[in-house]
Amino acid sequence: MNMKANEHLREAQVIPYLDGRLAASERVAVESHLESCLECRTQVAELRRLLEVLEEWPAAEPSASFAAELQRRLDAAAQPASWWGRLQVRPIYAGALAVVLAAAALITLWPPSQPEPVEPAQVASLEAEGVGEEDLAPVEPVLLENYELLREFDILFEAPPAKEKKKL
Amino acid sequence: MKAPGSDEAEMLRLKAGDASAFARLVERYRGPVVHFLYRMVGDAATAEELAQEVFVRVYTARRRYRPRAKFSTWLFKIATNLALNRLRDSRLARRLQAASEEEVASHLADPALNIEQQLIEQERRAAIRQAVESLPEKQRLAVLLHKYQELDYAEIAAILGCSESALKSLLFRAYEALRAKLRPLLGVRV
Repeated sequence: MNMKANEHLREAQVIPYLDGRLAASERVAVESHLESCLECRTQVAELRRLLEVLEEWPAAEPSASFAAELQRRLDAAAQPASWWGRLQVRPIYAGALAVVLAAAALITLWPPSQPEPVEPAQVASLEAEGVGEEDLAPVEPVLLENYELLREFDILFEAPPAKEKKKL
Repeated sequence: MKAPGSDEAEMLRLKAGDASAFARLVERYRGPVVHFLYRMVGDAATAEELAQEVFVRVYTARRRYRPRAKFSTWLFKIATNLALNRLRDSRLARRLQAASEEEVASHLADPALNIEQQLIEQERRAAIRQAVESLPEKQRLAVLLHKYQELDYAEIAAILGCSESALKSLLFRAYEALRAKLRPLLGVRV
């Protein structure tokens, strides 16, 4: 690609120039520009030096047991995992199990509503008015809905009785 | 047709059931993969563990392998994804930030140098490491794959999911940022 005499190097030209990856005609144009432009010449010289300096950063080498450890992992991966092992390998299953257990615990331990203590005398007078004990329990409609949902959900985890099979 | 000893030919042998082909690929690439991962995650033990995982995934995927791209592109794409996932684990990121540069540098110090020379070398290495680590994620990946792994532009562009021309600009910006940060180390007179 041709360059105008007063035009600096383009972003996408500089690194390929330093890598020696420009087409011959473009390389000649770049070098011609560098002869006349101190700014670009300084930039290219510093970048060339930078690429050398970066080599001073060494990396860790693989350990002597790399291949043996890899073989162990491959052998372990080839073994059929137990059902518990699969749960451990796949956290999503463990998470799902935790949710199911939490839901079961909720149903077992958390009553749907806590009736306010009612004095026997008060009950007696209300019963006289045709009000049943169930009606005294202050139940939030939303909570009740959730409770019913959880009750239905519970069915999914229990084998239905042979005779009284509930319709889902 | 793939050259007999090429990576792609070895993968096809592995796909056909030749386990020795996998051993040759591991031997060929364990160094480069560990080097790359070490510079990405900054910790030798984590780099080794992730490199093992890279090869486990290669082996596991052997039957689905199709030589559409270069093997090394595929390999470093897996390594890149694993490294990024690990780095996004905030616990590791915090630990890395807190890691002592001195500890890392002394681990890598050259015993042939005297103490003063070692200190200077450690400081230079720490400065280089900090400068590269401070780059935005994509620039850092581009530099590691270009400078240290010496992959070609097409491979790096495929790994980073950008065009070759975008990669060349990305590399330029990354190296310009490093030039500014590391100028005291360059000592260039034009």
